[in-house]
Amino acid sequence: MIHSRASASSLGLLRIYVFAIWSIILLVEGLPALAHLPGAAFRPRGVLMVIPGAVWDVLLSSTGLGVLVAVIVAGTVTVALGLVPSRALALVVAGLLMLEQGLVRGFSGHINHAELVLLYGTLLLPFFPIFDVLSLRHPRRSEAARPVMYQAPFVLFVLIFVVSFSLTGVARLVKGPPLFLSDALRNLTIRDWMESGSVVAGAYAFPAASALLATSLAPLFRLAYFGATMAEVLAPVALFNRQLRLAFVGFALAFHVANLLLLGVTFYENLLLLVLFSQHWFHDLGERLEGSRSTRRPVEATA
Amino acid sequence: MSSVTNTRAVPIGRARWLSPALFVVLGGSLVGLAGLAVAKILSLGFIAEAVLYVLAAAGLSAHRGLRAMLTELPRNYQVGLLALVGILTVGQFVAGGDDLYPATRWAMFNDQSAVITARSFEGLTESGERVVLKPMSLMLPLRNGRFESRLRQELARAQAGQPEQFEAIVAGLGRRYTELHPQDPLTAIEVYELRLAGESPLRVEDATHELVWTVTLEGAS
Repeated sequence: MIHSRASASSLGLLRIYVFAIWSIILLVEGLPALAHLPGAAFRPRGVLMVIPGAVWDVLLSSTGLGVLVAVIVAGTVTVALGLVPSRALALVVAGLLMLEQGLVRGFSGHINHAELVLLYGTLLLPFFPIFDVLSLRHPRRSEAARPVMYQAPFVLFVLIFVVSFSLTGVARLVKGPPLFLSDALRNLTIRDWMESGSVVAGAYAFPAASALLATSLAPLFRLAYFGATMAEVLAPVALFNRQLRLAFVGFALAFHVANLLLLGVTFYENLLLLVLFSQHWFHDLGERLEGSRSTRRPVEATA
Repeated sequence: MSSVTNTRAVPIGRARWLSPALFVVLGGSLVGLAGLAVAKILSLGFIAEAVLYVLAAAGLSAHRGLRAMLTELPRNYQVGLLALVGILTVGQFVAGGDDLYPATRWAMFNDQSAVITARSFEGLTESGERVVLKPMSLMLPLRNGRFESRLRQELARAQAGQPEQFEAIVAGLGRRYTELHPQDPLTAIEVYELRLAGESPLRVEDATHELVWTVTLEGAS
């Protein structure tokens, strides 16, 4: 099965990788820009509804958002480097990431899915021994955890990934034949294409290739729509067999690139998580990094 | 001396499975036919969904390696994972799923609208220039359709007689643009709606565009 070679070193590498991704997301996306939007436009989602309105008033200001980003980035960097080898701290940081992702969705028209696979996996990681290796400081514990505790987070991360694909595919499949015999995908593409044009001298100028999208490629869009849906539904098979896993990775790469080109939707996080479908090289890299470090000295944990 | 010992991997187990090609053909056919047949016969989408989820879960649990791994986990972890599956299931079936964050309904690209509509935002600057505004670029945290869907909803409310929220949000876009281009701030934003009938044959040149809203920004003369 996938990740049968996972170990403490590869789990440490996973910790670094995941929290480094979050650090980059937060540094690049410019959360304080949301302060320009009216506070009344914000609608707290799900578990965030327990937070009082007065807290949101402070948090949604330019200063509040800036401080939030700074605190979260400090947390993600601390966890990535293992400066404080505390799983409780890692869980707090994961919780803050959930807050930040919920905050942006509070201004959104819907709960989109782009970062959710990464978020779910991040929320699970602190429950496993992620600081044992490849960490600047280590927990006090002298014995390694059972092997399953190093391997399960990888399998669960991949499971979340493929199950999310499968749920999406099934939700579309049960719309039945009318959806797949329609031009739904082509029309979504056209809509995104139209929005990238502009008004010139009082007339709307569509971007190039609009006519091509509209006429010649309709049957191809229908075929791709059904084929992609079936591949999504069957995504869980990637867990069980190397050939199917390679096929799924190939599909996922093409799928996300197509989403970007045709629909203007980016799933960079999912693309980065495709490394978790590797059979060996991620774990080999973790072990190589562990082996290349100088002799560690035992350090007492601070939490 | 290392603070943690015995960190080498121990393989959990290896599962036998059908040959990949046969599995994909048989499994894909079964799943596809089951889903389409149940959806059509019962006309109850959620029953079809539930059937397929049960099939998928059965398929996953049939794998010995995965079962072995899950049963090796401590009992509290197993309970936690079951709770997680429960939360995800509720999120998948509750309508919309927007109030169950971080759980949500995993459904994407299912829009079957007969009419394709899109919006275009054009800014007018102090110097008289006309600039194209891309909401996603101005509000990067709201990329990936998050902002577009909100603008679509609020424009519909504005056209139904409740313009305050839409105008406030569009004004926020203007402030963000001006923050990035202080040398030539915006004075107003025009909102165009593009419409095109979605049936084939589709002629892009038949699309209509209409100025549906104008938001004058604060400080503009």
